Amino acid sequence: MDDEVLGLDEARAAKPYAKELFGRFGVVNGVGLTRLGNRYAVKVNFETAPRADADLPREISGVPVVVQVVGRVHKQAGSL
Amino acid sequence: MVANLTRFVPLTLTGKNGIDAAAAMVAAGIGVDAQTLQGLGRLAGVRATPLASGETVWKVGRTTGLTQGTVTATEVDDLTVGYDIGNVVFDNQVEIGPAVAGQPFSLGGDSGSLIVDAELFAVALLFAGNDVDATYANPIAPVLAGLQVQI
Repeated sequence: MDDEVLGLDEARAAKPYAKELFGRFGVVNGVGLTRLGNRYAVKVNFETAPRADADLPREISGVPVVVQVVGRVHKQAGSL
Repeated sequence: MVANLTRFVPLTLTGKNGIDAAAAMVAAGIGVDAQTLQGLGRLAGVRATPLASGETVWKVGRTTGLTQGTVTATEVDDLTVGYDIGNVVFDNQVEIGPAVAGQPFSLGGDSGSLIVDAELFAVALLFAGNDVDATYANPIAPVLAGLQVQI
């Protein structure tokens, strides 16, 4: 975890645009930061899988994008 | 009764939320050791630096017990979480995936688990997930600030 990771400011700046851009392909549920090697990337989570033929962008303004389909997220409470 | 609710941060349905957290005072006569994580050891304190993607973390939860996970994303915004009261949106959350494929880091009932790093410093508070490969947690600093408590 001590290695320098590049592109934090750029990845943060790309997050709002990622939500808007990827929202055209499906329901986005969460946009965050992740790491690819020594670079920061934007992570876009979908609630449902985009169409198989969707041409998803692989980067935004030079920032790599990682996509995952996480489905629905819910509170993990439990009954007593 | 095992405890009395003493503090909580209300959720809002009309804007963004930062934490889902509450504190309780354990009732007299209820044995508890809040400083020890079963199977891991004694809590070292609270970490001052933020988590990074790729880090290994652990938690001890009511449902799944001791599990190991990997931070898959930080600063997750616009995360919609389903509650009994409706959908609640959170910003600045931590996402954790299972360290072992097919073994979720958390399931229903694990909410409230303290998440620790490799040196047993508290780093986050578990509250949501998809029951498969994504767990969500509040970073520990805003939790402690919001509840006005210390570890």
